Amino acid sequence: MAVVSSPLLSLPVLMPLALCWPFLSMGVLAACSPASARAAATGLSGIGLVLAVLAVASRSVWPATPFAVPPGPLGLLLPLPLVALFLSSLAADAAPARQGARVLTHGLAGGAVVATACADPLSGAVAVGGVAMLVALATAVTRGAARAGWDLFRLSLSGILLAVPGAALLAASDAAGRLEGLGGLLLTVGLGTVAGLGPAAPVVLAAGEAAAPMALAPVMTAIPVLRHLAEGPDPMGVMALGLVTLWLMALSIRVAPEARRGRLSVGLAIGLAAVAAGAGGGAGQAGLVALLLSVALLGPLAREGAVVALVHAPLLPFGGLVLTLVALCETAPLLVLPVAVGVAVGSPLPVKGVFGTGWLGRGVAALLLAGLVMLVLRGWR
Amino acid sequence: MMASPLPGLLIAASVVLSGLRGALPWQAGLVVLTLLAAALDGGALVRPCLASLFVVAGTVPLVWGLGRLEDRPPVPGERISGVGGGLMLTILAVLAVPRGLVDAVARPDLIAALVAILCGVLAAAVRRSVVGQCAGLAAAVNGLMLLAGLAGRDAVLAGAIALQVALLLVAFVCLRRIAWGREAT
Repeated sequence: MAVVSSPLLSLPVLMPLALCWPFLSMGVLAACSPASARAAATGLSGIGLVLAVLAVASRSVWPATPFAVPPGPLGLLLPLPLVALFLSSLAADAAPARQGARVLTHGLAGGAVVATACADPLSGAVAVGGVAMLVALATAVTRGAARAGWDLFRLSLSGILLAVPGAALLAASDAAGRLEGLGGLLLTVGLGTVAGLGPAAPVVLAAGEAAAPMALAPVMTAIPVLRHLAEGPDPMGVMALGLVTLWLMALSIRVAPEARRGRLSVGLAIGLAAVAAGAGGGAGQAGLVALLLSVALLGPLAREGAVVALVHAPLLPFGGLVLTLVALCETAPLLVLPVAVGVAVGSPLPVKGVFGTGWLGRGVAALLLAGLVMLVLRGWR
Repeated sequence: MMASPLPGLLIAASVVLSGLRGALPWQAGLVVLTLLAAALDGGALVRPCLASLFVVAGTVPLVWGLGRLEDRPPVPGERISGVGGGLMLTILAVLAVPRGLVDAVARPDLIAALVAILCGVLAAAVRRSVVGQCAGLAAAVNGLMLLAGLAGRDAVLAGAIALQVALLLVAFVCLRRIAWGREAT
């Protein structure tokens, strides 16, 4: 484990603070007056993001708990839910209007960070389940969304009911065998269902049409789930789920109206990230991080028309696509063609700009360009 | 320790009756009996008894609430998908849980818990009626309680209890609005 020499960065309280901050923010936001709530939400999410980045930089751990920064490049996934939260606080359209929804969004991001930091698959599955149930409960009790909420709840609960016994079987089986195979399969299918991978994708994305916090649900659940699936025992299953998601989204994008393409492109990028997680290796993990960082940056802007452009703009998502194809060439060359064709089918020429308008869109574009430059420089070195 | 017919009965009930609200008390009763039998055989009393208590505490209000809602009986296609899929899942569970790795007495209980979960999830997927879907999910949660009570860790039992509370909450708030026609089904 890398130890940073700066005493500030090696503070032992960084990880507990980073994990608890979003939940503390919930209390502060609930007590804020409506006039100052938006500024407070932006400031609190910004502080949480800084704490999480410092925890990753110092490779911090929470002693005597399963919480630690994920190993290798996967460590960069830890602050991504807070990136999405910070951007949604800044974006005028994505920011939740009601006080309760704003508080719930912070809890959602906190749950996603906790689930990402869990090193133990069983605790991670329980934490991911908590995040998904929070979204489903919020949707279900919203007036006028009972049917959508029930469908989302049914999907999330079914996924958790498969993932938790799967993780328990994995933990129980000491020797490699059929029990471990069954546990791995249940964990992959269950977590994939919770994150809206495979046949579950349309339900999750349909719920994302609603206002925040449900709009951020696909982003918040995909990050911890793919962190666990990237280290899981069933890489072929993860790649299969990713491929099905990718094609479902690609075919939907072809016929979708312009307003829905941003959200569907987020689903497409999550499917490709699942393929990268299954492919594994250095290139696969780097591709997974690049794609999920793009999703976290562009997900909150999807309602404003921002599209995760995998092909038409030479930015970070394009880098993630290239790395995924490189990883596939090593592990599953037969999948390169269906993945490449799926991405090409799901990338029609954008009618308007790729990132929407406004200073936030331009800032996100600059960050994505900087991300690609970093990726190229690291690969070159 | 001796072999018990309860896991076999629970497997049969899960395959044939998952997704039917009238069958939920019987399935829950079998889960409770299996848990209590395992507790008496194994000597560890606290976790199985706690799990039994939560199975009863979750099932009774749910059966009462679902009984007040309008339900459509399953069409033949749903029955065939549920029973046929349940049989296939049972065979897969028997093949996947190997002899020898698990204790000879605990193996049928583990298979019964897995079949209850898988058949409940299958029923929630194939039934069109929201009442039937909820009954299927409740049966699956009972299966998870059985797994947690028998061999699970405290985290699994805590997770199962949280899922049961969430199911009760959503069923009472959400299904009432859908089944009483306040929102489109």
